[in-house]
Amino acid sequence: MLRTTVKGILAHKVRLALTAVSIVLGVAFVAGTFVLTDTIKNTYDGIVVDTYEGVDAAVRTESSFDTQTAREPVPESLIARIESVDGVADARGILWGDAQIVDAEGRAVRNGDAATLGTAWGGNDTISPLSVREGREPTGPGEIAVDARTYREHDLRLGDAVRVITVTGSHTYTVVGVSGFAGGDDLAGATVVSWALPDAQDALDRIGRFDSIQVEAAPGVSETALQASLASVLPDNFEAVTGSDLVDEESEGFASELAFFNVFLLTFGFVALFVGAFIIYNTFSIIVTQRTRELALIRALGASPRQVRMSVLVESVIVGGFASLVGLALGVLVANGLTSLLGSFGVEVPAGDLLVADRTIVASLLMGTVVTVLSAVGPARKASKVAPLAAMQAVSASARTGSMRRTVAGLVLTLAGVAGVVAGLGDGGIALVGLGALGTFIGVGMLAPMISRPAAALIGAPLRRLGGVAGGLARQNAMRSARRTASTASALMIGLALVAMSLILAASVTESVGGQIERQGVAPYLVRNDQFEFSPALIEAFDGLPEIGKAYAVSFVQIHVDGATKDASAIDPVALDPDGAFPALSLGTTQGDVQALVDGGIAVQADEAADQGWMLGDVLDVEFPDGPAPQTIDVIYEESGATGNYLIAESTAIEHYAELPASYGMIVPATGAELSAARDAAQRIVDTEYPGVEVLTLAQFADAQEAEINSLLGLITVLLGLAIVIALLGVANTLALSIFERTREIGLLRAVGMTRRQLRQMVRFEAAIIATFGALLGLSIGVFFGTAFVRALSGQGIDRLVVPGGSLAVLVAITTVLGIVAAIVPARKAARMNVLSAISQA
Amino acid sequence: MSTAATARLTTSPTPGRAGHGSIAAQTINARKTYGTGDAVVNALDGVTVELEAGRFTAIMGPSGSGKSTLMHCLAGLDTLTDGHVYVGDVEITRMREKQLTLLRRERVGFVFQSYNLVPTLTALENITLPLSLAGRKPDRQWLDTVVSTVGLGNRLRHKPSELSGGQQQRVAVARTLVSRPAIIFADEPTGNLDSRSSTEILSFMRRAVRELGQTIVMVTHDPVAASYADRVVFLADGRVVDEMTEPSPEAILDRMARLSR
Repeated sequence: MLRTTVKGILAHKVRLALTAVSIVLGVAFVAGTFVLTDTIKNTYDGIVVDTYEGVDAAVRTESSFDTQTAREPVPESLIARIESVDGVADARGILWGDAQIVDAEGRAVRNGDAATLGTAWGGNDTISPLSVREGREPTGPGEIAVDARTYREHDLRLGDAVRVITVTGSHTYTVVGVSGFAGGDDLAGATVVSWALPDAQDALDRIGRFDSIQVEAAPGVSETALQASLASVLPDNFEAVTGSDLVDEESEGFASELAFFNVFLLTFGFVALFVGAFIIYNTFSIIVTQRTRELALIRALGASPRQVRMSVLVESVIVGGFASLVGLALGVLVANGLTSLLGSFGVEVPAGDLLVADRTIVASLLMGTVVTVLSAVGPARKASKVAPLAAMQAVSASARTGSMRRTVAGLVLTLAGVAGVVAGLGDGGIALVGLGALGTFIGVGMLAPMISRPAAALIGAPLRRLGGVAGGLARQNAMRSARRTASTASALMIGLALVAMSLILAASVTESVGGQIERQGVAPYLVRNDQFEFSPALIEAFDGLPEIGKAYAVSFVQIHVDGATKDASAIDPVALDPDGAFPALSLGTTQGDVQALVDGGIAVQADEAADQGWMLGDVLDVEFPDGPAPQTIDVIYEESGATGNYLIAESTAIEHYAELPASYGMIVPATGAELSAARDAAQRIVDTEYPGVEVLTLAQFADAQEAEINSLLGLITVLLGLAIVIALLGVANTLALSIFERTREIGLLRAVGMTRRQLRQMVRFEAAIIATFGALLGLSIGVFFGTAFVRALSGQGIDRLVVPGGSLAVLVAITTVLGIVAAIVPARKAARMNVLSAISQA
Repeated sequence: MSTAATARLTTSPTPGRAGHGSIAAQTINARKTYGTGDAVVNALDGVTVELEAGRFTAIMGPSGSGKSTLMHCLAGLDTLTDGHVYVGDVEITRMREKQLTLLRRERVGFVFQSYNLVPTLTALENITLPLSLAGRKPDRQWLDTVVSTVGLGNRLRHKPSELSGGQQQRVAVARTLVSRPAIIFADEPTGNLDSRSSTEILSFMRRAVRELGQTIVMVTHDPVAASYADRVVFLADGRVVDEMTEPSPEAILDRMARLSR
């Protein structure tokens, strides 16, 4: 039986190869994602290990916040106490902060999207990862060293005077050295400026303080012993951790950030595989139908239904396994491709030598094979049901539209899927949303044959007029094989639904954000950079200008309320006072007095307060990085787009946060000053001192937000393109198989005078009908998903639902055209058929 | 559609109306060989035959005699190795695929042994298919004449799968009639039919010749079928070996028996 199977595969190798491509692409994407993220993780872990080489323990303040919020600094005086502890060989204060180098032309120096960092030079001791490559270490005031990559790639010279912007403002230093970092040139692409300790403390606003103190153990003292002896001398709110814990902590922190990225990319791989499953199912179904006679003959010769079923399944194992192997090999290429794709959308990926983990190999092979075999189960069952008598009957495509059982199952799955999506978006979690979506797609896929006949009739109706006989025949063909049309269209539906959903999400977010900026913005100008993080010294500089009445910084921070992490904003309450001298931001309808926030207290958005059952004057159990500090609700406000659901005064934040960079800024011109004068003055400071920061009108700010959303949308669409390409291969595959099946009919049409051109048209029209049907199915699901998503996000300030009709129409049109493109090869093949041999085919 | 071929086709004598005596199609010294060297097969070995307009001609011969090849070459479905083919006074021997397609559409009709109809189209749509392919409106009166001759009545709106074998073949013949081709080729049109349906379709074809002035050439190996023709041409080993006019089944059977000896 196995030999028969293998021979069967060889006999249909072109068809099966075409089918295998759909699995190859999906597997390649999954494998590529694994390879890419493993490589990134591996590279990063190497850097982390190198960074903490020689560090046996660290002393720092305790914090209940995650790494996004900086810990409170430790006082310099603690070093002396630590050095006196038994088993300590050396202790050194560590400082890291944002430091943006500006080159001689006034441009921000940056390596892609990587961080811009500054630190204190630790000397060439065991603890410090820095080492001198060229020149010397910075020792005096006004001196810095720059990492080797930045030095090389940005044409810096020893002796150059460069400006560095830190949290305390813009400073000028002389480059005296080039640093290596832990055996490499750089820290994952980040630019690294290093100062002598006093300059570092000055520039990073840490005079008399450090982020943490790193400790080297005396010979023979273990990390844990060191940790224990340090812990015994530390004051309250301080902790000692081992060097290994630091490495793990950092590595895990990165892993969890990377996990999001990994899942994001894998999602597209899974979607591709899912689409592939539809194609496999379809191809195997068609092949089984076309082989009915052959299968019946085998049955007549004594094969059991089980043997027939197994032969189809074995065929799928061989095809799936082979496709997975090819996909795995291609995965390495995909990893490289993804790196450059992400790069072109502004996501810089640090990558070393590509790492193919065992997990990648096992997962890819398993996934590709399992998906193929599962998709072949249905067709295999159908094959086993072929009666031996069928050997004597004519073969034709099944005209059945779907059994009762199938319809009921499809209906149940669709409803369950829809319920899953809705519940998942409510608070059931993202996994439920994914499962629900899966169920919806499969359910609709099962129902599609029921509507494919009238749908094809409807979609094809204009073709009868436009396309003449070719159009009419194409329409009839699409209607004739209802199930085939439906399953081919269903594969296309998936990608389309996701693109349509993304379009709706993007349009709704853009509109909501734009609307909020218009509603809330009182100040005519806003200030931002790409990272939404810049030195608050810039705002102070604005404040010093005569053309500017008042400039404000808004800083995004994290707080804990009743133990839960919440996003909050810190701002000078004066900006919020509509009756004040320089109002900048409107909170809509408010209860309470915003000015009261100056003396502490918190403002909460109205819906959030209602959800939590809080009233004006309630005292909340708030915790900041430096510890618990209960806050009274002084204000309840309406509009949350610009600030989030919690708001505290800037003065409160300065008191409780070690660092408070500005997230964005607002500029109110001086009373009586020309608007444009204020803008020009602000622009001059930005141009000369703070490259990368932009001064924007409210409309420009909204446009910039929109551009970012659209860029992300572009990336998602490109990644979903894979699923669409696979589905289009499915269209080509189905048509090729249908043409093969209709050889005699095509011969007849040619014999009675159909030109090659008309024949090609007929095939392309059929493709257009299938593609349009798939697009419309996808569109309806996409509109539902998109609407549900936007509704679910209403709590996050997405308060407008926009269904971009124009874009969606274009999407359908593009899909139709792509369907026609997919039909080019099968159409040409059909047109090249020899009329005589086509007619005489048995 | 303004190619030279179209122009030539449309300026040629009106198809289907030619009187007795004129030539609807002919071959001159037609040769068709398959394979090379020792394996060479002469399917047609210098066939010269004239097919008169307005007559019902049968081509007969044992299997392998070349009768189907001859018909395919006459109809522009296959090409000769050497020699000439004319349809009317137009030589089609060296026509290109596109011109041949137009020829098939405008001037030639086909009836095959089976599978003559497009399964997705109704009987009526099948009948008008060549006209639709050419983008022409059917001549209402002529269509009515043809349709009434077919005698399908209300089954015209049915799909082929709902018609009997004989009915399907009648639709196929009607399809060829509706575009008034210069010549209709029928390849074993009764091969798949029972005798009652065969009689029905053969009489129908003879009526088309007698009453509508149509030219029909039929390939068959059934002496009874051939006896409906005005003239029978006998082929053996790729050559014309004999012919007979106003034949009876017995005479044909007798001749065939001698041929295969």
